[in-house]
Amino acid sequence: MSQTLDELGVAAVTGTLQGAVYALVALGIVLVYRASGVFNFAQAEFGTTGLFAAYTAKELWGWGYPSAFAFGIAAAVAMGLLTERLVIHPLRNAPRVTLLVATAGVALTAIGLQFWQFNETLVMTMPKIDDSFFLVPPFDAPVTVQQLITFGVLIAASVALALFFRSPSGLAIVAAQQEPTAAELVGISVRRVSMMTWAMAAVLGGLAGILAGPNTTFSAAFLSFGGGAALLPGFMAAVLAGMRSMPGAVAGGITVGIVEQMGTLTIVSENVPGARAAVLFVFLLAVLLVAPRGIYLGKAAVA
Amino acid sequence: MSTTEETATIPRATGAPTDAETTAVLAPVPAAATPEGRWRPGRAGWLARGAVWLAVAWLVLALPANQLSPITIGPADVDIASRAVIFAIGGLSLHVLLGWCGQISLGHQAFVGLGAFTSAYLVTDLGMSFWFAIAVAAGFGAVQATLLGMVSLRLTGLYFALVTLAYGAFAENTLFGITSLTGGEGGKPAARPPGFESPENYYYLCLAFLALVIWLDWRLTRTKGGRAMAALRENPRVASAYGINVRAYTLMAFAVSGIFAGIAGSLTAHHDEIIVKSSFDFRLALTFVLMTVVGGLRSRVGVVIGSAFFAILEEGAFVAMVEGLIGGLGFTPTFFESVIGLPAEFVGLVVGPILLLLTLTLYPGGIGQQIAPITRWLGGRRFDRHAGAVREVEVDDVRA
Amino acid sequence: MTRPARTRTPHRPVHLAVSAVAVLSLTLLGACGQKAGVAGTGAGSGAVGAGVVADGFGGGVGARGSLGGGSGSGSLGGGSGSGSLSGGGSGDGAGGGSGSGGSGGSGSSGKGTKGGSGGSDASGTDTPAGPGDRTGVTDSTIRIGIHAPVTGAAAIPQQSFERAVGVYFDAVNRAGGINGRKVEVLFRDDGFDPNKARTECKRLAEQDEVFLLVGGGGADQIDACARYAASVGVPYISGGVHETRPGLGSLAVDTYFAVTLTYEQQIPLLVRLAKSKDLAGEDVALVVADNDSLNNFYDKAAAALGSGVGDRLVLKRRIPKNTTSDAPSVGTSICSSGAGVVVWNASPSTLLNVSKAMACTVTFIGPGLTNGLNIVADVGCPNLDDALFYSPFPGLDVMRRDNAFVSAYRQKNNAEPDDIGAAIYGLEKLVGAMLVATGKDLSRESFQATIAQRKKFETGVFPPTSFTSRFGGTAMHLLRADCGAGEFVTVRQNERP
Repeated sequence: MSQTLDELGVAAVTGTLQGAVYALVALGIVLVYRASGVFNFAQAEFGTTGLFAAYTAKELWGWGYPSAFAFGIAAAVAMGLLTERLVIHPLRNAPRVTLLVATAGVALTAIGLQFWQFNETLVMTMPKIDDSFFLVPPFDAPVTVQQLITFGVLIAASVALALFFRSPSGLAIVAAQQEPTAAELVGISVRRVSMMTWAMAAVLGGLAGILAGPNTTFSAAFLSFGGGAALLPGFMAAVLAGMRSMPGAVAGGITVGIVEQMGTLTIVSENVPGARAAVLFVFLLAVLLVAPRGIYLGKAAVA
Repeated sequence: MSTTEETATIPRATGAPTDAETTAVLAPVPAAATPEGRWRPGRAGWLARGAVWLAVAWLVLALPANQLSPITIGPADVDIASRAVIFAIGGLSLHVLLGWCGQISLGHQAFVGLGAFTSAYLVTDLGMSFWFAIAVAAGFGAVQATLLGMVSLRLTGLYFALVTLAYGAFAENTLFGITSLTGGEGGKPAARPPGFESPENYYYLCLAFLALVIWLDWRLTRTKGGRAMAALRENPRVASAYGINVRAYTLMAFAVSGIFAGIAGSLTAHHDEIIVKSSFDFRLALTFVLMTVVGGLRSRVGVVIGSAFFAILEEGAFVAMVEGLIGGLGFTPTFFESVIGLPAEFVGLVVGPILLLLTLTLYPGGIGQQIAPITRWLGGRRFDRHAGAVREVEVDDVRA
Repeated sequence: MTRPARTRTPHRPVHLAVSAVAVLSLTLLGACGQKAGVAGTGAGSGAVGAGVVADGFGGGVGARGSLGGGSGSGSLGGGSGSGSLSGGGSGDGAGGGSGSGGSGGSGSSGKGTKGGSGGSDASGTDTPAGPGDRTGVTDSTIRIGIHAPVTGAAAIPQQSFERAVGVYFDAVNRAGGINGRKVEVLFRDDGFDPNKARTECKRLAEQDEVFLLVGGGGADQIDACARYAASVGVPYISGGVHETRPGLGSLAVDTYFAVTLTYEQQIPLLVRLAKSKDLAGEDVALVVADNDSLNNFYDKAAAALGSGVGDRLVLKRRIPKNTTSDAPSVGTSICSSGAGVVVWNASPSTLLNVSKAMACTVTFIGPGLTNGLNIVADVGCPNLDDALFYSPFPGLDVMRRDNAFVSAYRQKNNAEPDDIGAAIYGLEKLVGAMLVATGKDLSRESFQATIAQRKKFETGVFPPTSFTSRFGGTAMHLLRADCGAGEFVTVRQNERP
């Protein structure tokens, strides 16, 4: 029993830190959804693309870490803008399910390209920003500095987003989402707003990927379905936030991280095959059937 | 004046002079051979159509099984043809949900996988006959799909997509991870039914099931149920205002989709003769979506062709065929690899999603739309280049 | 309520016709009867290997009469084979797929493999002794098929395999071939998926008509292919992996030859290593992936370690097969147990992830095959420094001194050899030795009979073999991860359990 208690403690800590990645992904999802009503299936692939680009820059071209990081973010943004231009904009009047399928197509294309380009180096790793780690008493939960940095980035990103939405550009986004025609009349370029939204979502996704990648080995589709598997948890966190609330996305991400770690407890994983997938599925079902409007709604509760 | 000719043919009443003012006799309408607007092909047209039909029949029936064929296809390639047929059944299964009902399922491989493992377990562990097993697999597929259908009734389309995504992962890892039922990583053997072990015979078996599935699908859409589903897809509120039982018809559609998926699963299991759970992963789920959307959401024929295409692409046979063709024409045979630098193994992974994006943005009707002129021509209509134009993918989602 | 306007359904004639066509196909089925099926393995399989000495192979080598016989449907013994494959949950029942019951055909005594009860045992009839099954052999060529994971979850670069396959046989062909025949090698990617492996093996055997099949790596894929090969009577050779798996039974199926030590056979080596001078003071942990093929290894290793090191065995656990986000918790449990030596049997990428997520430093030791690859050392350093893994081939430090190998590799690829090249070279060399020993009269039966009779094959790369059973390995080489050099170096060769 005490082993389970220990494991619970470790799960809580690991889950919170892992949840930071999910929260970053969720922020991007909520952002895109609020701006255009699209479920962005490619959100996690922004991250993988950014990660692969950073890896290429650092490991294959020998750049320094900060420049490689920036390169990765730039690659993610490029992918986001391309997606917006070539896929989202032409389909702007299409039904939402079409757009979901389209973003899935974007994700798949990215995955295919990753497989193609990186099949030679099948085991890829990237060094962390800082290799040190320590054990947190009383459960001896392993915490790496990389994870703490990720958490810090999450906080910074949330604050930045909050400030941004108070600024004129942010208000423009909100306006364009609520009333595109009226916004155009006031001189807000809906096109520009759309591109800005997707670029920001890509930045968030890219951050998630580049910060999560160094924790393990990675390969193609890392952040979507591979080792980092943050797409489904990211969506679940966004659901918890009612697809509306940014702070809710952060809280949701951490919640999903902790819940997922419940699947790694020995009593669960020994009795239930594929425990993590099971836990996530049951949790998602429960949330959607009981509280489909979300739980962490905050100020966006009045929707 | 044009009427002079017609008046010349009017039989005059004997003895009575015609008087233009007193009698306004309308020219008799020339006896129409067909009702207004119905055009029939001439003899040459019938011959041409018949010849194409024969060619299609030969391509589907004879060629893959090496009957009446100048070329011999090896057994492994005949197996690929069977696989293409099985994929077509799977595509039609998702098509029921996506095309007729507007529900997107990102975990469809779970339905197929459940059918596969059910069938394998029944045949291998319980010693049942294949025919019983495939029926049970279809039934389990229907049950599983109906359960998910009940969930879908409470959720909007996009949230339901998430649930199916999570369900797919859950099925692959947990349900198919129950080693006693599914055989763990070694997989579960599944013997082919007696009499159908050879690749050619199994191909015919799959083809027969495909015909059955197409027929069922056709009946479904032709009946009141089908029209109800079409109404549901367009606008559930209006549909229910007409008294259509939204719940029942949605669940029915899910059940049918599950039946088809179960059939596909069972056929897959016995085709491969050993199935492992890792075959039913997210890649298969997305392949299903790809083939249904690229096939065309309103077109059965398009879905069948699209599914077959993707099956052949996945097996690498498409690349082999293209390269064989190119080699035959005298160009460098490893076309993809040397010219584009894309190794053959990855052609499918890259080409597939690009086709999806092209379909969604430029040709929403998919393959079905592209071949609509041909299918209509084969159906006895005039050849019309613009037939089947679809302006947007009409998969609808009302609340999100 | 108005009826909705009748929409045209232009697809109707098309689908009616498809249905008609399908009905037609059903009648064709009945009318045309069975096609003759695939040539090759069906034909001439009646040969009962003359003078086969039974020596623990049981009915394996001789009694393949079932293949041509019973199944008149022209399938490759699929009728009989599949029946016995599904031997149905009986203990370790279904030994071989080809229904060669223990009470085999002629002259085979001994009950090496338990014939599955479901199988057809047409072995009773003594099929006329023909010239033997010579599929894949002509007067001038021998065709063999190799499958290995190129794409998929294996940590092996695609180019490495493509370069490695055929290096040895190209050199042999330049020197005149084997008994006057040149060897043609066909290679297929099995995608690290047992299902695909079986499909590719089937293609190699039935469509490309190879003489024998070779498995490059990947336990599940080797398992799937070996069982398939046994069901159609094609000899199958691979490095040793597991010996048995629940549900499907022993891997010692007919026509299978494991040329190096299996995981289970390496357990004494591992215990000895854990008790050796350098590691004597440390506590020991046993970490094994939860593949069901490793159940047997896990049980035996736990028992052997328990009696070998006693109290020093502080942890034994199974870990999920694909673990990237579980890696921290696995690493934590290893460190908190206090172990200094970890006996490891799981995939290389898991090893890398766990070692990176560990707060403490341990020495990993484990059995071969794939954890001793240089890519593991390359990526896993510094956490994996001094890890010790057994391997069927010596490290590159030794192989670089093998001039024949180096020059053959350079000649084919115009590049310096890597460890995959060494691995495949060793495997091909061993297969070549077996082919040479069989002599000019080369058939599947004579090939397998030769292995059974001669038993010992020494090639200088792989350790020598001794085929007193299907698991013919005798020793392994021990490699150590040298982070300074970024690759595995050879500690000792030919260490016997």
